[in-house]
Amino acid sequence: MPRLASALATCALAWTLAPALAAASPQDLFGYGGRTSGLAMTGTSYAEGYEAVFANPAGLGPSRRRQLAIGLAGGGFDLRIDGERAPLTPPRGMTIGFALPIPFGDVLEDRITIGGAFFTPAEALMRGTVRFPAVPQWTVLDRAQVIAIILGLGVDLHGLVDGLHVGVGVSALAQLFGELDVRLDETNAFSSIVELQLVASYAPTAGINYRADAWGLGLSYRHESLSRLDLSVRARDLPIDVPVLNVGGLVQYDPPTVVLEGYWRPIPDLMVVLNVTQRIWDFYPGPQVPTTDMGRNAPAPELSSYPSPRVAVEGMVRDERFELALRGGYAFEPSPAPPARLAPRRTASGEPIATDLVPYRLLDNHRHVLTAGAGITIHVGAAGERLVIDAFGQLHVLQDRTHEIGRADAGAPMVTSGVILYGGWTARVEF
Amino acid sequence: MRRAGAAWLLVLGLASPAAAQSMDTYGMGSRSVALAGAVTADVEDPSANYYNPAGIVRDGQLRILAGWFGAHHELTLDDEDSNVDPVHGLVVGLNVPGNIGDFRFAFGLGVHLNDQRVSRTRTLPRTRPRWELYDNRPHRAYLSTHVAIEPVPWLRFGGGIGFLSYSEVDLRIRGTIDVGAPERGSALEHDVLGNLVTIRFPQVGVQVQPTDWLDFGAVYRGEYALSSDLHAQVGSPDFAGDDAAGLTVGSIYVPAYLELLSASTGAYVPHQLSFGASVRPIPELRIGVELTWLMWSLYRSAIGRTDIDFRIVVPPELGDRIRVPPLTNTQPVPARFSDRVVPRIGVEWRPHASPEVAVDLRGGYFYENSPAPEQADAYNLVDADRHAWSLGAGIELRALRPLLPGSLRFDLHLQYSLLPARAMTKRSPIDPTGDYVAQGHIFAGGLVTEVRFE
Amino acid sequence: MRAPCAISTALLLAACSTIGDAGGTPDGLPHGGTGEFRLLDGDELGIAGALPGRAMVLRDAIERAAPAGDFLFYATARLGEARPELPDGHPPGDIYWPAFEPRRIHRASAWEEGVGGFVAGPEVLAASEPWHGGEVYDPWPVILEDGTARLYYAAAGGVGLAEAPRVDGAFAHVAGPIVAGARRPSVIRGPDGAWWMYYEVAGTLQAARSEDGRVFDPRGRITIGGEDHGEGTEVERASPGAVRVETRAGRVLVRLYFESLRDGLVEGERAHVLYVAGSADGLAFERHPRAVLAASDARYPAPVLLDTRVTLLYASLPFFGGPYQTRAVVASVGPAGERFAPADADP
Repeated sequence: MPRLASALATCALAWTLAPALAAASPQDLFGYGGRTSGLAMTGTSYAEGYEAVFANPAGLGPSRRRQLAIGLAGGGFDLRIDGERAPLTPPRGMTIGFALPIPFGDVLEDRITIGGAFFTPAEALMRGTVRFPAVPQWTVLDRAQVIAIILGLGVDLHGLVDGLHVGVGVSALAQLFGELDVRLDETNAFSSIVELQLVASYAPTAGINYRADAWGLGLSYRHESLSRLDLSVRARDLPIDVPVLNVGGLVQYDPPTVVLEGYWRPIPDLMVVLNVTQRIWDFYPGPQVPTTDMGRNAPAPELSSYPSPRVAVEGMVRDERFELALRGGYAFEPSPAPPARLAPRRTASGEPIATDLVPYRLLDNHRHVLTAGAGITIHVGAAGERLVIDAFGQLHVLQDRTHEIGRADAGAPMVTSGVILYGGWTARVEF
Repeated sequence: MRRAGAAWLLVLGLASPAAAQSMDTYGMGSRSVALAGAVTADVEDPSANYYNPAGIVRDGQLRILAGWFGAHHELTLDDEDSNVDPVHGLVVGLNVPGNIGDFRFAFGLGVHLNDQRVSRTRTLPRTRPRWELYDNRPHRAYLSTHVAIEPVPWLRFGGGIGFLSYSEVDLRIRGTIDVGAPERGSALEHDVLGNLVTIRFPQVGVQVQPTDWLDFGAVYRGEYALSSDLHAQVGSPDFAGDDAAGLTVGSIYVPAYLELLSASTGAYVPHQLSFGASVRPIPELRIGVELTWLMWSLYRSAIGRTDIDFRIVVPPELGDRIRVPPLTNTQPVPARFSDRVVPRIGVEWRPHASPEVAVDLRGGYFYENSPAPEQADAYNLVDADRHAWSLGAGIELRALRPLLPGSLRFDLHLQYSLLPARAMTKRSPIDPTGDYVAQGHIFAGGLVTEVRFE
Repeated sequence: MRAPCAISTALLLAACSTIGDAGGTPDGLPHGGTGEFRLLDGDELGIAGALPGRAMVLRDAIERAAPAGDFLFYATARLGEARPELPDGHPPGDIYWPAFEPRRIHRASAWEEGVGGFVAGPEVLAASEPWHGGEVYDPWPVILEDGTARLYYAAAGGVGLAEAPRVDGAFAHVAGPIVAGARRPSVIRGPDGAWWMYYEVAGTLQAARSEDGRVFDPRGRITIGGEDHGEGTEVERASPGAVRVETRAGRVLVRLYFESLRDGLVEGERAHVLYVAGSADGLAFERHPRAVLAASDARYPAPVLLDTRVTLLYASLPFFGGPYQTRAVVASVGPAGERFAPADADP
């Protein structure tokens, strides 16, 4: 409980310090949008409108109304190593989303919808860190400070197969490349030329869903989304040869993800969702790169893939003008990371060097995620215009884990644990 | 009015990803660029997301715009090509109108995404000449979303809060460099923190339409400056501990420490205030005029600060092999720019209009006096006045029902800018750069397609 | 389907934003001739196997060399028959002239390949006047607008003048001493259109003005202000080498390269370091704070402008190839980043 209290305090402090336009929810950790985040980060089968841009762009297909949504989200981390708190920047930011059915006529009538989903973190569009391998680092969880720009297009295949929708999308991330060139300038003094470039990296998404009256199925795939920070440091005109230094690494990585989900409505106002999310971590190369072209790299991260099961329930109460939805869910997020351990460094080409064992403190724990949420829909116009406000909260409990090595090289094996609190709201107009 | 108030809160509260950079130099869209940007009073296509966000609610129609834009620079210093990089990329715009009851509003999206990069910053040696307004500033993505309302039929407001980001990089390197075999023998590792820090700025506009043939408009775009901060630390200052770094020369270890702090402004966009008017003396003819005030006097400088701390403990036996080079710290230098007022005029003529097709021809001109003073001292923020002429044409296909209940437009523009020769005469007769002449041409063009749903 | 097609195309085009090329760099930046100059290498000079910067291969002792058109004028002398002992206290770096025959002025022709190199050539002037004291040296050629050439030089009595109908023609002594007691003349057309001679007298730099280039009116010492960031302390100035600069901005300036003789830089010796100063009127100069050439003991600067931004600077560096130390003519270029294509490279 002290841990929970501490997390609550952190969360409260984060909200207090947050600027008015704050909050962001890194979609891979916490889901996207006010409704699906309260339903255990599900949505592949049922999400509609702007939320479907992330969950499954096929969900844009049945949208018939324009949507504009804004929201805030934020959270607090209380992660512990041997009971001591590990500093990790809490995520805070803003959600902006839209969905726009394209009003073509003829065979394209009610056929195509485009949408956008954006996260804008409050302080940094992207925070990327590559640490020395021996430094304890939460590589899986410390991915919360990054902007997301996702665009999607959904197609309703009514007339061909009623209820079937397909969708594609693309998410963009920024990568930072740069050169620091230290050399003699025109005045024979050492000066530096710094050139930094942001370039975009794109990850496609695709999905399909089928909705019958009382049930639905969805399948989606999100390709890996990654961001690199790559700085080359060159020192010329020195009396000695200094190699080109490659500084940076992989600072943001969302693994390829496959989601299979179904929902069932035993009665019209009750929905039960079952979801299996498989993140494919096997191709994760690790954050570090060798500092010189022929230098030694950090050990391989050796992450593994495990499915994450999720279950969620949504109940509705409604009258002519208002609708109230209550939501709850549970997800188990197995850790893909092996325990912190002594591991062999690698050559620049990736071969392990068995004789060069170094401590590698890449930390992660299994997580049990409890979510809850509520939504109010207000019908405001005669033509069906609606205002929808959704709120959600998530509690991530990190299952205690004992690693193979300690915090210090000579210490006893360390134990990691923790709690994450995350919450937010969105408001959207449909017109 | 309660709804209007709520919508205004939405306008002010919408922290939209927006910015202004290549737009400031080359404009957005094709029709608006062909009209030299003199469109603040009556713009209504998705380029309103840059020119005046109030315009996105103007005609109440869903509009989707996509196109391509490119600019090629031929800028020279003493007739040597400065090889200022071309700018080209994708332009996308969206106006989405809506009604709740009889209350009209709209939201809009404007995007310019360069082909090569999202953004670039360069920190150059202090005295090196650089085309201050063209070298780096256009290399920014532009992403804006806005909300606009029309409380009464002759008045529209629009706005959003934009943001961009700049980078902060903090890196540490430790280990040893083997002087004899620097690539193979060096044992180094690093730790780096890279932040893209958020900058926010507002953009608001108003359009007033007292009659069908007369429009007025005003827009304010906020200021921002993109910094480029880099902090590098190699080794530890006391030459000890896990973070120590040094050189190995044979069996000799030479402890070393380097700390470099480089902070500069990679791109600056000043506060801008535009007032425009447009008149249609006959339905087929539109004339727009505009004045834009750019507050360049608030620009501090692109020439930033560099602090270097380099220490090395050279043993006597290596004194002749390792010589510590001269290192100098530098401080920011004021730019001393001046405000400028840019006049614009654009004329559009519709020679043909029928229920099936309409054709438009356009022309425009604007003049930008350079805000940069003559570069008489050691620093060289190069700029010259700019005369820009533009031509454009558009064709609108109107008979596409039932598939398209609206119209499909194709617009093309070409823009030529002349930067007349400007001589920079140095105060010192032995200035390292010396006197020079800056001049050049810029060729720009673009093609956009717009789908409009009635 | 046009709108979806346009959007698909847009997304595809947007993917181009991942290219992130390195960006352009200028073909050439304006440069004020202040250095730092870089010694040309053998590939640029077209002289295979030459030491860095060595612009002419010659075993004889060479002192000052100055270019004019496709020629380089230099003072040289063969090693004498006798081998006198080097006296104690002989300044390091100075040629011990008593061991050589009397100096004469020769004219080298441009090396066929590369940029800045020369091949040794015939004698063009020898001592002929009583005030010459038996030898002539310190040549400074000038080509006039009509193609005739003047050769200013120094001898025991001061500065003299020889002329030739063309720069590759036969020179004949015409006047002297035109500035008594002076050495190392450097003559250019000044900002006012008159002829200005800069020369060295007893560790100071002085100037004289002339309307016709034959009769000079001494103006005394020139002033050189500005900051000096170099190591050591400047105690004397010597060997002026001037060049007239017409900037693209329409100004005429004088750049004056000179030797700064400095104490405290090399233990027990007086070091020679090349600096440059600039002037708008030819008399009041402002110096650039840093040395223009990093090589140690560089002397006798003689600049030539290739264009408004590229300067070739000829100078002299110590050379050890015989019983006595001599000096070699070297060529350097500023800005240092300027690089000439190898002689055998395709343009």
